Amino acid sequence: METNLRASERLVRKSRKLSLKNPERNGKIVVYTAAFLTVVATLAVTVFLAQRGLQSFYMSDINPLEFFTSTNWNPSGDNPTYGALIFIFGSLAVTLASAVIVAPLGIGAAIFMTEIAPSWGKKVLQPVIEILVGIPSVIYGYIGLTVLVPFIREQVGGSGYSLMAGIVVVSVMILPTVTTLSADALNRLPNGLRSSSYALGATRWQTIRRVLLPAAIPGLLTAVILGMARAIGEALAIQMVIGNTELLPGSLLDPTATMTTIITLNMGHTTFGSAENNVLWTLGLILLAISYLLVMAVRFLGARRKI
Amino acid sequence: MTEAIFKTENLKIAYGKNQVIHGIDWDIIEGEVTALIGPSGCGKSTFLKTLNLLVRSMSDDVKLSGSITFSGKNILNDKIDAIDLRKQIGMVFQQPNPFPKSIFENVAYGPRIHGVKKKRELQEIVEQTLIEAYLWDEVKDRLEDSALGLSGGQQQRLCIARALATKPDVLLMDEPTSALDPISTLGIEELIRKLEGQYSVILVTHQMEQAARVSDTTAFLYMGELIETNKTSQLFSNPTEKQTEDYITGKFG
Ligand SMILES: Nc1ncnc2c1ncn2[C@@H]1O[C@H](COP(=O)(O)OP(=O)(O)O)[C@@H](O)[C@H]1O
Ligand SMILES: [Mg+2]
Repeated sequence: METNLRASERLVRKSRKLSLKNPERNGKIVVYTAAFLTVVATLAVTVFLAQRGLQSFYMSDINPLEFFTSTNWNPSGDNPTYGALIFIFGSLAVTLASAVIVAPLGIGAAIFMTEIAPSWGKKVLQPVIEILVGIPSVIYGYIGLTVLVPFIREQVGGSGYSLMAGIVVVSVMILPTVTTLSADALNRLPNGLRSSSYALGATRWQTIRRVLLPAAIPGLLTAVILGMARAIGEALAIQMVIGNTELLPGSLLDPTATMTTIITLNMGHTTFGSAENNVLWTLGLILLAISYLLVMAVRFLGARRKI
Repeated sequence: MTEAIFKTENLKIAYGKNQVIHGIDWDIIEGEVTALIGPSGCGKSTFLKTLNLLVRSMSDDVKLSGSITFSGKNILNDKIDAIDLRKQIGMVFQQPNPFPKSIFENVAYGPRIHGVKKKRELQEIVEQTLIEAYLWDEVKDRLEDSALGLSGGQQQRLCIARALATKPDVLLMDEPTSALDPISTLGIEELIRKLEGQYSVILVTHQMEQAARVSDTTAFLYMGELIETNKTSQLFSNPTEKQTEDYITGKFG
């Protein structure tokens, strides 16, 4: 027994020594470096954006109250005004409206894929939707521009370039994301929930509505929030269809602008350090803050899922 | 006295081309605890899930043939209402799997589905069934708490209560203690013995000692064939088949 133990101990030691030579330590170095770089990059972006973004207020003397509540946006005029409410409103309107549209559609599609037609769903739908997730946003924007904008102009009214077009394009864009993540949330549920509900005499629909959906809620909300995170950060596709006018929209058919579209449109022709340029950084900082909030919501829901 | 609660005739079960049960003729006696033993993969769970047709809900490609007679009807006949059938046949699984709901809502789930709406009536059913499952004293002050906060043994007793709440005649149990510690296991076994008589219990187990402790009749299933059924004491002390003897003496499995 004694000698046996010794032998196995020796073996363990030996294998440790061997692995110390290379893979274990190298692996550690790679992983630690990657983690370190990720943290540094995130911190650097945050600090840089905060420093740039806050300059509007303490160097360019822009009144924060005016910035957040006024709709007068004319940074390049003789008497410049810096009211960003239109863009903040535009971003939030596009994000929230598309979340409201996509949540039932995406979750419904996920239910279809995982519960109603699981074999077909797994083999055909899931891969197709995963491909859709990867389509670059410029393509969604381009299709919006050539199909949706003329359609709205002819069938609904206005110029076609509108808040509505922006919402629809973003909705189509985030639908696959929300669908796959929702399907993942449903697939993660233990099969025991399904079998015990059926065994009690529940129908499929009762099982979905009373057991599976409630159990998956944290995961489903996470899916919608990650969809919103993609929506709030989207610039290109929206810019192609929303009209980019500095007006608060009176209806869904009016053109307007979002924080991201204003940044991309004006970043190029403003001088670094000017008040005009600083306010764009401020918009960027707001976007970052919103993303942080969304990520925190996801983490919070993720923690709740385990209970 | 010895009525059959289930009578299977030439029952065959296949998943696609994979024939799992090869023609079983078996009268399962009403009001008894019947144990089904056999090595893992021999088809015990599949057989059990067929008695309440759950196997049809859980897999698309299952093929059933032969007949299973339950309360005078062949349940493999297409006209049978699976929902009604499952109301009369409760089931408990290997992993305790309470719904992520309150203790109360777990037990009330079955009755609610079958149309009980009045709060008072539900409260009565919940209390009665929890008492029956020997869980009431432990949970009566926290019925609104999440069922997931209970210990493994309590969760399994809750699942038994949940299954009893629709007032079934039969309780199917698929290795109900294999995920539990020895003390909780004894608790469940004691509960099974108390249910005997009021319910017909069919207990799948891979522990022969468990079959010996709680069952009246034991059946040995091997590679999809029913090798031997007998009074439990008979089967363990004096098996008639060579394969049964080999199995219970630990020569294989
Ligand atoms: N849902 C299923 N689909 C296909 N094959 C299955 C399924 N469930 C079980 N099987 C197969 O049926 C056989 C019997 O399994 P099972 O009934 O779980 O046995 P046991 O409960 O005795 O361990 C195994 O070979 C298993 O691979
Ligand atoms: Mg099994």
